[in-house]
Amino acid sequence: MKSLEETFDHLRQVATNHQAQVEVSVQQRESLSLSFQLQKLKKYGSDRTQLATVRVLCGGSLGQSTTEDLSESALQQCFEDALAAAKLLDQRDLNNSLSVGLQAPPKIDQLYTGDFKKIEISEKMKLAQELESLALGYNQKISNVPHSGYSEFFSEYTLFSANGEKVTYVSSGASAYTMALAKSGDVSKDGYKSVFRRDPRQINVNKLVTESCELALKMLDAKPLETGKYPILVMNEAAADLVSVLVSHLSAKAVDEKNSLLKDKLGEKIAPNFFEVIDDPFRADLMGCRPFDAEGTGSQRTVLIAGGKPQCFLTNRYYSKKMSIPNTGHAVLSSGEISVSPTNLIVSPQTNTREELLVKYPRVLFLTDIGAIGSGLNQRTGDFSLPASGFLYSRGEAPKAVDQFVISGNLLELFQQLEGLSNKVNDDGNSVQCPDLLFKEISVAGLC
Amino acid sequence: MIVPVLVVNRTLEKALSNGADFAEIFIEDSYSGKLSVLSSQPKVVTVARLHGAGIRVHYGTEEIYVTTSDLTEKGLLDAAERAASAISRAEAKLKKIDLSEEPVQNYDAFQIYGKMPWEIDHAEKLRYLLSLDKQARMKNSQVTQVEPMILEKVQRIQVANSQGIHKTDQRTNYRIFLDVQAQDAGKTETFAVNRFSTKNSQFYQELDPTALVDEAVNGVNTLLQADYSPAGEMPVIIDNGFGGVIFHEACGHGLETTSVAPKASVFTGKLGERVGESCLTAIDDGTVDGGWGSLSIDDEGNTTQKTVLIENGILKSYMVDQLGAKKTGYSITGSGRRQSYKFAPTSRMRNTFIAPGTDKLENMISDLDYGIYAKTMGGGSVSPGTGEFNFSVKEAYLVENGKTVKPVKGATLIGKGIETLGRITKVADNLKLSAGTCGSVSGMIPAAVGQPAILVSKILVGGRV
Repeated sequence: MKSLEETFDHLRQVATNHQAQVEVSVQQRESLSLSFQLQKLKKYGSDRTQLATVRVLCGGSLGQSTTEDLSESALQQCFEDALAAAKLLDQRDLNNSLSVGLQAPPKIDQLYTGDFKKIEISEKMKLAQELESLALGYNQKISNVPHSGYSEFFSEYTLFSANGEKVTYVSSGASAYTMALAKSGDVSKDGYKSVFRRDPRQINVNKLVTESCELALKMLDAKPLETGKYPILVMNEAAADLVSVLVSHLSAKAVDEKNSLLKDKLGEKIAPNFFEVIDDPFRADLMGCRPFDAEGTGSQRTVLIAGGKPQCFLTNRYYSKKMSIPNTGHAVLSSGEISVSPTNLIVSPQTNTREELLVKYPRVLFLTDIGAIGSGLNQRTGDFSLPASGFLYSRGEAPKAVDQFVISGNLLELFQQLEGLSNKVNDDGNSVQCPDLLFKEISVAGLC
Repeated sequence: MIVPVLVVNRTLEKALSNGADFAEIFIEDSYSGKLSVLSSQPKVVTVARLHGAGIRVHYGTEEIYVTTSDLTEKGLLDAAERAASAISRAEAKLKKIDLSEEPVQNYDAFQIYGKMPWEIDHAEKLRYLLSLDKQARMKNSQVTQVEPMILEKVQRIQVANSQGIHKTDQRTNYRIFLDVQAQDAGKTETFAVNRFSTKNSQFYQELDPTALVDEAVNGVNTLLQADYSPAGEMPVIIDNGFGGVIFHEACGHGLETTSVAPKASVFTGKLGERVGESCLTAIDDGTVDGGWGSLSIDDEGNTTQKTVLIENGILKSYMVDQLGAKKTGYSITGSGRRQSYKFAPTSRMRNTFIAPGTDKLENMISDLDYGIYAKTMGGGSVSPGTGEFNFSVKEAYLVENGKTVKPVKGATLIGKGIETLGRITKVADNLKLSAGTCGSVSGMIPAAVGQPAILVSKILVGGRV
């Protein structure tokens, strides 16, 4: 049986015979997941999978195909599928290219902390079990923990270039999550928290469980909200989702496909001066860290929004060439296709505390959760109508939990109304790190 | 058969070798093709081949699930060893597995195959997509972008377990999407339509491209003329077809034993109780001829069934998979489903719909003083533990004094499952099923939703204030 290297050398030869070039990327992944329910093991999952993506450049066009079977015959079939695809696509599109001259990737400390593989399984089981047991014991109103679990992964990404070069990086990480369900009479409310860390020993189970239980318990008292317009402070974790959607419009792919709300906005004010977003692929403590992108382009730190103005689009090889702008190294493999996506997004915090922002107006709606961003936000127009929950802060009164309401507006108009950022960023290891965001006014539909 | 029976037997024996009381292997070999056109040019032609196995063992209700993409005997035995040695729960013992030499083949029950996707010229499919693009642009000069796309999948599976099941199945899924974007007076809107089929490649010949284009372009035109939806609690008429997503989200997920068994559903313990008005009967049926969620066998090898969930407002049954049956004692309903071998199966919906009633849609509208007529629904989600759901409305109209007066956009409906069920006060006679993709713990699966038009007497509409 041939090694991957030998198979790839053979494919390069076959490609030459077809007046084509080929590159192959291989992702191999091992993962473990553990969850408990009602104090019994609910699921022990162990996955070992691999995926090869073959890209063939023929004439001007690039065909792609993927397979999970890494045998020589399967890769040969994959090559033929990619070649056939290339022949169907636009041969005159001269913006396609394959990676050549790959550089050895920079070493990023802590991206791979594989020694935690040596931790006894019993310790990991204990951690997974505690995610449920601590929640159930937290308060007698916590009636159930529908979802909780621990997972870890080890991943290796290798790219064989059309010139026969090879670059590789390995990464690892662990995550934990808990959804606590609080019940009082006929009312049930849930609270969900998750955390990602490069090393499971950095996961603070108590903090995670406490936060999810407290959220569920506080929402038990939630009251309906009066329909109207409110200033809102969006809690950092929920705010991260809004920033992620906003930045997706800086993808050169979205711009090229006429799907971007920011296509004509480079250098234009879309938010106040203090709003700054940086893409930082070297932050190993965050989920999106990587030394090079899916096409082998070295990662780089990119200022996306400064002074409230978009500075550049995120690109890969193709869109960089097509739009004559620098390649920022943001190619990702998504369902076997190359796409463009950020790595880690960092929104710079300010000095205000959350408490200071909550009293900036006579009443402020503090949103701890915004749901349904996938279905309730129209990516083409920016219009949104999203279910939310949180707390209403009115001066001189204790905060009231509120839920069963919908916030509506437009994404670009919302960021124009950004009034302030807190000094508190989310610490969940998510690939978006963001402070709380204060917006001047938003339309809210409630039950009274 | 993807893997010889001898290897299957050995794999199951190895998986059971640490004392597990149940072992199962789910083997998959899938082909997925995607073709799309953008800006009037072929944009994507890709092929993906999925190939692997999931091995599951049970110690009582404790579940071990191991996957591998190595289908050699060595790869499968290694995976079985990982499954067997994952935890130590019982005394090791040897159990002989001797499955039938030839697995039961199921794939003629629902599907008669024409040409496989790889046998149909990709160039022909691209020409079809290009023709959709051209027709949409010709139909309306305000159209600024068109993205037609074909997704096709053939999934071959082999499932065997230590209780003697050894079956194979083959499923085909064809989908065409058409996404049209248009601009008018500085406003941009987009509208997407689709067609789905589990039948054969004849699907392409039977498609009516003009109807598809008309639906998409008319949809986007309507949105260009729409004002923002009013906000607040009000009556809403939800039309047939994809309107059934309300039942799917509001109640369906809460009726899966995945939520019921750990008492994490608002429907736990309510069998035999009234959960809706007597006009409400709801069914999950895996046997609908040509249904998007129909299957000969589920992903555990069990024959699919028609399951009446709610009859005349009374809760009659849950949707039960193998593990759910062990945990709850209810009988299996052939509802064990998964996206691929990478997911352990759980109880999931198939074709879920509200049975037709006797009311008429036109009467529902003419009887309504003020409210929303939601003609086409978008996606949504639910928390089964709290019953709180949300879903977006793609195409809607404001109703005043018994008449639709104008199109409205940007509406999201939110509510609580049981509460909303109790507010379904009228059910029309125009049942229709529509195809969709449902996401849950065992991945994304094809599932149909359906209903006749219904009137919800009061629901919160999130629109602009």
